[in-house]
Amino acid sequence: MSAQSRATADPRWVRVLLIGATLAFLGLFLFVPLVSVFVEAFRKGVVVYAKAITEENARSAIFLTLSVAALAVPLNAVFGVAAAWAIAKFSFKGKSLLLALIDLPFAVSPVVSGLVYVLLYGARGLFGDWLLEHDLQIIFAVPGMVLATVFVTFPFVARELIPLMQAQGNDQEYAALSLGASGWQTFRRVTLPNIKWALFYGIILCNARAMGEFGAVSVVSGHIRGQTNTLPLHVEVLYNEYNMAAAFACASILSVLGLVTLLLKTLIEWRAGLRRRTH
Amino acid sequence: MSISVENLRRTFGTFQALRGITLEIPDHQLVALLGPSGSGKTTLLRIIGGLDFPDAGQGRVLIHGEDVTNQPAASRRAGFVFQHYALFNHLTVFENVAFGLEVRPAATRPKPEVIRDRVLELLGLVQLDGLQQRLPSELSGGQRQRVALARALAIDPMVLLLDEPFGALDARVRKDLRRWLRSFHTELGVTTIFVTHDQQEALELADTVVVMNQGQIEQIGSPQQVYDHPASPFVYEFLGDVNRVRKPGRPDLFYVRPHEVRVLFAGDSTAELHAKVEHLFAAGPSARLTLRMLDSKETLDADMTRQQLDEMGLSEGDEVGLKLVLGNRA
Amino acid sequence: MEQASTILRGGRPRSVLPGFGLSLGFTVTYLGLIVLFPLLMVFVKTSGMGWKGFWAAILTDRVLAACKLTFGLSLLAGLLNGVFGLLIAWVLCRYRFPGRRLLDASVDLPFAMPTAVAGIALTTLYAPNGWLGQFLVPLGVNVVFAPPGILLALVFIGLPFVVRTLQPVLEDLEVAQEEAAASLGATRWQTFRRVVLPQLVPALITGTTLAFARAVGEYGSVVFIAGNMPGKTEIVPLLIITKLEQYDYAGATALAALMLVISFALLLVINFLQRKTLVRRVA
Repeated sequence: MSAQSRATADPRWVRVLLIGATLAFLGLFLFVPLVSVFVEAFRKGVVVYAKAITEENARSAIFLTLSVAALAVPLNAVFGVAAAWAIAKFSFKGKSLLLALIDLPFAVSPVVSGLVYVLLYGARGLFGDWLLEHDLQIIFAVPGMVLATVFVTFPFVARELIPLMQAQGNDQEYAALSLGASGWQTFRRVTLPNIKWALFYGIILCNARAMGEFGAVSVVSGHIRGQTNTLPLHVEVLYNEYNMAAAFACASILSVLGLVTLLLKTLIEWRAGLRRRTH
Repeated sequence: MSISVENLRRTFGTFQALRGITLEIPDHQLVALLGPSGSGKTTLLRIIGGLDFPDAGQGRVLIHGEDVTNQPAASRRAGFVFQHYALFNHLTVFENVAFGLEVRPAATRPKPEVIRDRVLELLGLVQLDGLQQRLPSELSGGQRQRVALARALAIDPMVLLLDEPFGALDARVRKDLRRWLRSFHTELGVTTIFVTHDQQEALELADTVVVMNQGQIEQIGSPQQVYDHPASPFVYEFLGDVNRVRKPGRPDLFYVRPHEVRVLFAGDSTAELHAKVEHLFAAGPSARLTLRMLDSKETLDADMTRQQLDEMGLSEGDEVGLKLVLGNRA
Repeated sequence: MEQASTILRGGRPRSVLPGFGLSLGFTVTYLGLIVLFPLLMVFVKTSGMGWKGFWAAILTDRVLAACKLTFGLSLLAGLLNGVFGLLIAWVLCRYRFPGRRLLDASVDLPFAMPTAVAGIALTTLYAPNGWLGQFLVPLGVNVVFAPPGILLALVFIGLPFVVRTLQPVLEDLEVAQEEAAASLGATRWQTFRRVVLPQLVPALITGTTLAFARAVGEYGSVVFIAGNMPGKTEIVPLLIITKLEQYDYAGATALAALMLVISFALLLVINFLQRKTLVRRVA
């Protein structure tokens, strides 16, 4: 934004007051809780902290969190690219309905997101008997947690890609085709480089939510220590056992994940902004 | 290579973009598709290039006698230059030009040295030597235009298709590029079709002008033919400045270009019409007069040389006589 | 912004760009399997209960109290976010001061921080012996295990919505309009009230509705601080989980169906509002 002319600049006392109020609000609301996580985590010293994040249940929770994200994020990334290709590059009937449906999971409570899979695959669910007969378990097991995570992180990548690809239009793809490129070559060499930052951005947000998801996963997890507890669920268990230092130690790992996500997000935005300016 | 288009139709929803286009373009020609926006000229170009297809069963496209109507763009070898160039922003100038060669299947792909030589040769041809490592964002509009041209030429196209090639450039660059493209075409001889809405551009540059309106061809001819012998009122009005005049005692409308109006002294006995000078604009060697007819009160533009103007000593408010010099037209 | 057109030729859509059938087919299949079919199950199960069964499950004191608490506090949280979001968006867009970029980035913290972390951090902070609780409790303000705690958590997670919806609109406002108002003799406050604010209203409503919708379904950050006393501090999402744990599938499903209907209604409202905002900005 350009420098404000004197006519539209707010009086100094207004500026000071509003900036002060913002700093106070955000400080109290965002920074204090964030700092408190780390303070509580180290309250009993580094040794307790290190032990809390390396003991067996914590390790398996970290491993499970990483595994769930490693399955859910690529699935939704592939979906996001496919959906964006179909929606941004072609015109067809029912497109705006499809767009609205893709956003649907954001409107659904995480608890309900988990519940729907219990209704399908739980012991009394639609496929419950069939799964029992074939000795398959989805609910209270890892597959259910992956499904619930896929559900809550469903729109992230698609949402970043669709508006960008719509804005970019099809001319570069047409140019590639007219130069003899195949469909796959066109996608690989022209489309993908053009959307890589948005794709990365979407994947980062998707990943943060996948690793931090609590409500949906809580519903479908059996809360079995060392087996179906992700890191957020492990935090809950420790907290409810009044093992504060360990709970906050594990929470601090999740907070670092959140901070790294924010950092990457800001860097990409900055980078994308830079690119836009050079055009 | 010769191109022929037979009875092409293309509808978008309820909008008829092309309503039966038939066109024959001989080898080595430089052809302008000229028309207002919405006339279907870009749609026609895209169908020739394989970037769009006619309605099912409605028409054929032949390149050098071969029916390519259903061939995808990738196998047509039509070099397409897009209105906004569609350069690959993430690739350097060199990589952009090399793209069409590098995506070929391994069996027909030239060796890297061959690609390199070819790209550098093309960049020399479009006068962009030394810029091969730049990104498109680091080039001026005219330079981007020439990269797009070099990129299209790299695939050794059977035909070169340009969509509003100078539309996005400012007036001076446009004029330079226009001249350059003309000599460039003479040198290469590739059959070239370009789309434009600028009549002057079409008349100056093309061997053949195809005037289009509302999805149909109004007239095909040399610039001279379409300018001097417009086949329809639309062509008349679209090409060049034109006045609509009613001669006294005759019901029909005449189309008269400003340079075809001879301005005489008010008392001149050969005058067919009488008017008053409403506005006078003289800059450079020619002058433009806006005249109001004494009887019908309609306005009319007339061109004359500065010298004539000075000799007659006209000024605003003067009455004059007019004679229409229609040359060999009726 | 041109799109490849698809033409029906012998029944098969034909287009210049390849991959339409594959990408759309995959999109629709995946959407159906992951999202639509499972969501549909909620309604299928609920319709199996019949209207009577449905209302019997909903119209209990415990459920009604949870609904009142959830929607009431969510609405309040949405409104508070509207006020604070406007303040923050204004300060971030209009003023230049050291640390502005850091502050701007940190607005997304509630999105990036897992909800469970926010939940335990807020609970610990406002507990009677916590950093902030130790000052509030002697004043008679009980935050933890009481409605104000729930409100606090809901404001926390909803904060980014209003700020992020307002920012682009604020940035696109023409400064010339404010200069015009000033040249016509308006005071700064009048300019804000009569020129700036009316143009922000659609985005403000959209952001507030988004924050409200998020708050209604929120679970992770609330469950720790709420105390979860039935009838007093029990929110709907928690009640759904409680019912599930008690194998009351019918009750849980009926509540889920209610929540879904409300979510979809909110989604429609938000879509409508966003389209309106867009139209206004284009016009």
